[in-house]
Amino acid sequence: MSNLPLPITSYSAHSEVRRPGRLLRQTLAGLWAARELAARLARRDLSARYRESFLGILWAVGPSLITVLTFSLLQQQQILNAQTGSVPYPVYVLFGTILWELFTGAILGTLNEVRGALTTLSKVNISREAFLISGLYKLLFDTTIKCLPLVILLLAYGVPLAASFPLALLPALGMMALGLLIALVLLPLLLLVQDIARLVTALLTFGLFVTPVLYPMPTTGFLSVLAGLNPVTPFLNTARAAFFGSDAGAPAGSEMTALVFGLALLPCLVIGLVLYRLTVPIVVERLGD
Amino acid sequence: MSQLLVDVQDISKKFCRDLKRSLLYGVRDVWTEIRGGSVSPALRSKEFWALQDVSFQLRRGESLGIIGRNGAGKTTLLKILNGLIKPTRGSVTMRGRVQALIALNAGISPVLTGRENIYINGTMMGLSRHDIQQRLDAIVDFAEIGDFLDTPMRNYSSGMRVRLGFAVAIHVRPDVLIIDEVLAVGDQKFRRKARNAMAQLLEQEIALIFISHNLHEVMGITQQALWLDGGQVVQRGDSSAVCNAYLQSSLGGSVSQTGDIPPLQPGNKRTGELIVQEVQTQVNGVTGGRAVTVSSGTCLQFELTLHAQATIAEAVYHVFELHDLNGSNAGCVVINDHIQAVAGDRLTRRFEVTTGDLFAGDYVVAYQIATEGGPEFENISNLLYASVTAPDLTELVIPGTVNHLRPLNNSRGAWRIPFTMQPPTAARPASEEKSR
Repeated sequence: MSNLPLPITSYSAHSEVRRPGRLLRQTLAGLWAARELAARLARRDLSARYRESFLGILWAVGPSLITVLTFSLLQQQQILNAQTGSVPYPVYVLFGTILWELFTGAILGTLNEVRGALTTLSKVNISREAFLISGLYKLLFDTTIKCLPLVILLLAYGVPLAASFPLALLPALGMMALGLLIALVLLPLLLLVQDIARLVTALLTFGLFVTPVLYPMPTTGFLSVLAGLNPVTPFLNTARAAFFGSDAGAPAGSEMTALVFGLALLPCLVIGLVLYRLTVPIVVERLGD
Repeated sequence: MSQLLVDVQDISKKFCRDLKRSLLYGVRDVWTEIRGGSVSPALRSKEFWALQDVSFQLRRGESLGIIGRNGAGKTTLLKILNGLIKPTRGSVTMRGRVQALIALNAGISPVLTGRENIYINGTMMGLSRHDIQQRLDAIVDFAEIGDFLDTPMRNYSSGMRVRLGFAVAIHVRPDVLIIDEVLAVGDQKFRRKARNAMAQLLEQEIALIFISHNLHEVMGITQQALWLDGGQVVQRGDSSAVCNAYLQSSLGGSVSQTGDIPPLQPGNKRTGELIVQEVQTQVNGVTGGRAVTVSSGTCLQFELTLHAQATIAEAVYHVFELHDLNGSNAGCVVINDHIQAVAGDRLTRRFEVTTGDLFAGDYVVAYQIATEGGPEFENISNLLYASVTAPDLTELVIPGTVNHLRPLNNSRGAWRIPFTMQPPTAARPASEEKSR
């Protein structure tokens, strides 16, 4: 058995950036190695999450339903006056909330996933990428469950769907990818400096109101400027337009922007993953036990 | 020469004592890493070297024990070897599949069952579902968790968790196996089983790195040992030599604050007509000083050089009392002798101790030489420091052997002699041997 060519692993003090080819290969190998582990980790966490709870997966839907109830009440009492076109307001809010939570879930979920994995990462040399992917699996699982009440509402209100409705999946995934990218870039800061993690959480709450989640963005004024600068807006608008058709209170013309953003996201995500690979050992050293 | 699997070159690692500062350094290090720079090799404020210039190599079939006090840098070294953290200086090259057991509970979910956790743990260690299915029976069998396989791991004892984790790890079939002090929680039977498993893996030509505070395990399992203190290599070489040196240093440290073996402490009732001048020990042919490590069952020989201060021609008793480090008496042996000397004479006496009935542990041997009912010529409260370890691995690997350490029974006020001594060989044949 001796003298077969064996895989060689080496670690040194030098930055991995100096060997970008190797770094990229390692990142891709990490992703490949993650495929089985990620699924297993996700299944582990999901089954552990519901095993000791009586309401089980209802907890995945609860918070979004409460948001829908709250804002539908405000709308119905005319405290809010959202013009959502042919789409009934509760459906509009639920759809927006599901997508928004896909975005924030990608940021906060990734952060929590990696934070939770630090103990493991400081003791076992396993695919670091597995935790990212397992986080996304869990996010997609939760999102799928959230779609059940959406289907119920759609049927209850008899909302007609646009023929292009399956295409809404693409901008939805774009939102998730955007969230993941933000998480990957900020991860060292988010993990090492708690203040920044808190700040980001607070900013996301603010972001909910400057993104057309609960109401279409006004076309004039300060909010319209903020919504215009918001990279989430084109994805969200495109998803709505694809799902409900053009008469959904979403301005036309977001598609191109979303497409460009989406395509730009792909190389950025690769860079993000490389950053993540560089970051983990340093964070583990400071925070792992 | 067999294949080089582990090559560690001048590894150093610095850590920061202050948490907030450490986090900021972390942010800075990430930035340096992204820019392609190297972390400055100088210490920044509140930083210290957790490891300094550690080098070693391991080939197939070789094993290295790493010993040292808490905080000596052992686990840090393992984490660098396993690529979990980056070294500040130096490099590590590993060939083949590396399996490290730094903590057994990493990745284990308490709500999930043993079976589910085997799959998770196995996947983490790089096994495919198919691989795990194939090895499941062997793993369960080795871990002896049979009935608990489908019980949530929350209800496992810590020993059961260790058994399961270890069982999965050794079934991965690594080229390099790294084991941190994880077996400590297991019971004697499992530890023995684990030692045998490691010995078998070594025969299959893996390279083994083994960390333990149990020196007997280190000596039994590894050929080479590395003693770390304060992040630096104090000694490296033959496992039993390094372990003995480490033990002498730590025993001295536990008895006195000096860190050396305390000098002979004579009692004040002695007459001083005979004085212990030199003590030399011998275990397995290796000559040493007053501190010695001996595995239970092994023969310990020691030689006393007595310096006569007056003319003596008398029948005497050599009295050896054994205390553990807390001062509890663990036994006593009396040996007859006859001393014939004039002032200035040097007499040597050689004794032989079989340690088979002693518990593993650290002991101090006190010594008196006296006439019956008469004065004590000499009285030393710390003649020898002996660390007795459990029987060594070679004995344990033989199937069917039973650990033959027996408890001491002194409840009726009668000392059972926990060790047996041969009469001194340099003296006249001893007339009798009796216990007090």
